[in-house]
Amino acid sequence: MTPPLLSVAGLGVRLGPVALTRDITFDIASGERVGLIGESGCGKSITGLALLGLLPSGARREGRALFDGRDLPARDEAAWRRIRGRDIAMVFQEPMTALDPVFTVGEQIVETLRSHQRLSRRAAREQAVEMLDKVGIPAPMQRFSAYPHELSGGMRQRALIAIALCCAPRLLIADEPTTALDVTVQAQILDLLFDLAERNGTALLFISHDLGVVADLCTRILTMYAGEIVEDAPTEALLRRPRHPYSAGLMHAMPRLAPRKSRLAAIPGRVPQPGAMPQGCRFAPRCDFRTTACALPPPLAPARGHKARCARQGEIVLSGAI
Amino acid sequence: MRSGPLVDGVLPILAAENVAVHFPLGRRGETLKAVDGVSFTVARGEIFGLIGESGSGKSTLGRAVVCIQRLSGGILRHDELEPFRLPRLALRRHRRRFQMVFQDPHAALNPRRTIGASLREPLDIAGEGTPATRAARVASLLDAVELPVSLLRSHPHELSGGQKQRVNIARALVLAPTLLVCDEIVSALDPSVQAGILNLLVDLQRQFNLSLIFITHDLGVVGHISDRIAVMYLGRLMELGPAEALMAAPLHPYTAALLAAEPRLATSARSRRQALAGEMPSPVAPPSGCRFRTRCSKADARCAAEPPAWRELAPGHFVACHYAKSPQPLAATKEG
Repeated sequence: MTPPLLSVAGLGVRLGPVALTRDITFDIASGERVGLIGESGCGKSITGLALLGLLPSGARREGRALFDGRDLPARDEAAWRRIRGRDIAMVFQEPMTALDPVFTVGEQIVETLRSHQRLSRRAAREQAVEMLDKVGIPAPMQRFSAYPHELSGGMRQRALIAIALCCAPRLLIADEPTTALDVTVQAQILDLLFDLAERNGTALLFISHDLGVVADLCTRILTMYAGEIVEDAPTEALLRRPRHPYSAGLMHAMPRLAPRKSRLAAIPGRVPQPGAMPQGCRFAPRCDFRTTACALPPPLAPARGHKARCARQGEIVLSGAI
Repeated sequence: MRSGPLVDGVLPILAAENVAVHFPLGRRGETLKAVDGVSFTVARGEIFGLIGESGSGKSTLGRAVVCIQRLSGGILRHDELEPFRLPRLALRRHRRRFQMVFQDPHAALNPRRTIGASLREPLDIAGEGTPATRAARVASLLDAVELPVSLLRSHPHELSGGQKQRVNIARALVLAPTLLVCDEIVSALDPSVQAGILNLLVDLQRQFNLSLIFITHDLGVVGHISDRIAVMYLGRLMELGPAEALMAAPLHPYTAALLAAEPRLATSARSRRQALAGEMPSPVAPPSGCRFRTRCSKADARCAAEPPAWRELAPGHFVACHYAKSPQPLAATKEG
């Protein structure tokens, strides 16, 4: 078996005394498309940022992350500058704030290319135009000189993807890249990410709150709740037979799956706040299936295959979405 | 004032006839035609879904039907009344019965006021009842939106997004409206919270016999709760019909494209969807003829030359497309 491209073990992010995430453990194989879902505040974005060395000041990373067998540094800005953009790249939710408004789209690609490769201006420019073409931007020669405000939302997101992919990274982390877009444009961007990942063998970590979008694009899905991964499963297995009550709850809350006009199954209660996490299973206070067994924190088990962080998996049967 | 059209012998609570809202842009005499000739009715107790992408004009239309946006053309009727013909003070009184809830639950509440004060404000302005009856009304509405009375003394920052949106709904209901326009009210909420708000809306609609206009870009949501759905594109309606028929067998290529663009929980290997090419053109210079033609795979010369007529191809199912065909009866398609 080939070693995974990314291997994360016991990763956690602490902000002072408060643990925002803990015990994040997963692998991504070369070329694999993995989704990371969860609701706001569950720690999915901070996990993405930790894997890019972009944690806010004051935050501390725990645990290990191996990329292609090498340690990703916890804090070493010089080392991160060589990795970021070249080995691991990121696409953010809001393309208008991720792009620099005072430089043209083309200049921003050229800057990325030339900071990682020895290229003449002319060669970098040619590659940049080629990249704009690859991400489906019409008239790429003209758009090279366009400023971000001159582009539509969908075109800006394409430009951002062009910047992220111009150095052919082996892992692309995309944090809610389609959330700000209309559905028809979202469909175009999902198709684009799928095609680019397939063609170049780029692995993808796709972060989203939308299970539908993730299920559409990814072959494996990690579900996060209150700073922990609670389920790690192949997409189809998760949709058919979720093993964690929270993943099942997310599916049952989706209006597009429920019979018309029926009552939707909302998950009662609220997500616990970091610093005030329940002892034992963190989902237990909101869970219909809790018993005394849930007073102890359950591990993410089994070691391989379809994993869940639930003491009662195997004992309870949950219905899925398909 | 003449009375409005009857639908099945009943006066609809809302009737829009050829409604237009244009915004002059001030440069070279350009005009942004946000809403440009829209006609529909909403029946008493109906949940009417209005779907469209950003820039389609759906929010402007929503604001116009509750009279917080003046019309540039067309006629709006509330029951037998034309509200825009009312004198200013009478319009203000009348507007109480037509309320709106907005997308961002945080921005819609004054951060320095308690929840109780925010909820009571519409009653204070309207000068209804005594302080005691107002307080009772506020408490009963908080209960109707399933929030504890203890929240009355809280400030918005102490509430979650879902709780704030419940407060906004309660505030819109405090003057006992007959029609409530909900503009993307669950879009900013997490899925599990969204489900609770949708359940609540359906309950409230039944409890108070409200008419609801539910504006969203999310087909899953609108398909779930609506009785009828209207699809808007660049200021015009493309299709309007019973929710079930429209979702199962859309007549307009744009509706079909929206449905195809929905993420699928597929079990088989991922297939490319027939994603719609391009993006919505600017509403300042909409295409001639059919406004959707620049993104439509079926468009031809006729679509550029003449705007399609608004045709009723099945009972209550309207479409604006030259090439839309009457839907097959459901039984026949099942056998085939």
